[in-house]
Amino acid sequence: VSESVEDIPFVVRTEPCGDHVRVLISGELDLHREAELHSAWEAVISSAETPQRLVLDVSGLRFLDSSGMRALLVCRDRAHAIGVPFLLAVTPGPVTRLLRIAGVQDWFDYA
Amino acid sequence: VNVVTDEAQRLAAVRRYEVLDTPPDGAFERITALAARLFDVPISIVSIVDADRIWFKSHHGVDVPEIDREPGLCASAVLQSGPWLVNDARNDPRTLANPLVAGELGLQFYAGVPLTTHDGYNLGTLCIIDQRPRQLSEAQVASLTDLAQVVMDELELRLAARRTVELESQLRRSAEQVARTLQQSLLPARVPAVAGLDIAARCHVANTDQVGGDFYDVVPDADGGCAVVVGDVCGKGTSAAALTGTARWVLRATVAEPWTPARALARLNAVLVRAQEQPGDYCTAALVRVDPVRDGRTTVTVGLAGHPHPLIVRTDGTVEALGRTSPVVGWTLDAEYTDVAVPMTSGDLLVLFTDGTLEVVAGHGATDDREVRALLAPLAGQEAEAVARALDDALGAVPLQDDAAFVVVAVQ
Repeated sequence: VSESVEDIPFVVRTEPCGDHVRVLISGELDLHREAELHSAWEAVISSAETPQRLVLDVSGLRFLDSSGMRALLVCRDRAHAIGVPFLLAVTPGPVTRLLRIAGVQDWFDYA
Repeated sequence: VNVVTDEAQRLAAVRRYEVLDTPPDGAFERITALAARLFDVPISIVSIVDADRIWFKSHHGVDVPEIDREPGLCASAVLQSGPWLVNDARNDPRTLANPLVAGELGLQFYAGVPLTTHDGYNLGTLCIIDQRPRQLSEAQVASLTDLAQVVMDELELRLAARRTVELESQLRRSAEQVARTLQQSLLPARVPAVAGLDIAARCHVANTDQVGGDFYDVVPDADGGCAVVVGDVCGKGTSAAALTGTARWVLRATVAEPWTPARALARLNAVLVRAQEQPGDYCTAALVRVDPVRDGRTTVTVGLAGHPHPLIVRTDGTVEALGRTSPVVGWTLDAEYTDVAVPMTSGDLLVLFTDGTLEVVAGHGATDDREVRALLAPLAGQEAEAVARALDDALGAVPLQDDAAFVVVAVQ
């Protein structure tokens, strides 16, 4: 159980948008929530119709820890493994700052 | 099953099932409601016979939660190995003195089947009660016996589930303990003495189930100076501890020969990517080479791998961030690291820390080191231990969400 002072619920939502699929996540993505993102992502990856592009929209994320960042990298690697372009949709804030400190901002393509 | 009649052992069995004084529970409520309907009686009870009372796990058609342990009804039924049937209680010598019979309730009919554990103890009964005399058919007695077995199955299931949960949490606790101990054993027992430097280091461990976390190391190197590293492993349990151990020993081996931080991080990255026990674990690190101190002067060279910048606090209180941001180690071979060298002189402080330290000083989720700089600036020129204590105080003020490690190096 997370013990963060104010628990912001973590929410994953999947939206098919024409030729691409958009997965939106919001709240706090940490060790306790990693698995929820992975299972939503696997559902998209393994669905019958492979989308042209996969977009992970993290603009609603308020907090990301090192496990959360790993989860984003895993999503990227899983998309690339099935040959689907992966785009991260993000607005400047805690997520972009963490990706910059971690030196991995160039590892993502952005929507 | 032969019923065991030793009362002390029977009571021990009652305790073992941990059912006394538990809140109402849907499964048992449904069974008593079903029994009342099935046998067309106003009252049905799942009773547990305690030392000095009969407690009702479920009581359909009667409000009292427990009664005294008077002989004649449930208290007598638990001494039997089969059903206890009282068809006309007012005229039955076994029960006519019982307060439920003589008193307000006016009980005239009682049929109770003992709840017998798999090892032969009667915990209580499933009983049905009416305010008029009745007689059950053989088939009805068999049905009541079957229902009592359903109650007992339910109790056995709960006991087994509780035992499984306890066992699992015991196993988890001991696994976490092992991982935690392993992780802590990876920290140096003490910081080595290095000529011309005054060094203090800490690792504050967060009180969470997440094992992994922070490490630091201080090692004299082949060039007569020393290597200082703080790192943060992303991963859990023993695989994270293994990664920490690998990281620490790769760095120790690397600095035993002429080295630079960027080359050491590239080598560590290659080892971790190829030798990862748990795919997806990675680590961040700030690695600093401190050249041998001569006449109060030295050069520090910093390599960063996805880690907050180390800070230098000059004697005049100015604070500088060191190093060029480069990727975390252990994820991909496609990562490059850069050395950045800066001179330091007597009285200057070098502070390496993990994001756990940053978050405590600056708030949950913080990535900005402004607050850490503000905390350190007034400590310019102090001894390493004094600076470490000031950071200890800041970290001790709140419960830690994450491990927090730091190393303070003062040039003498």
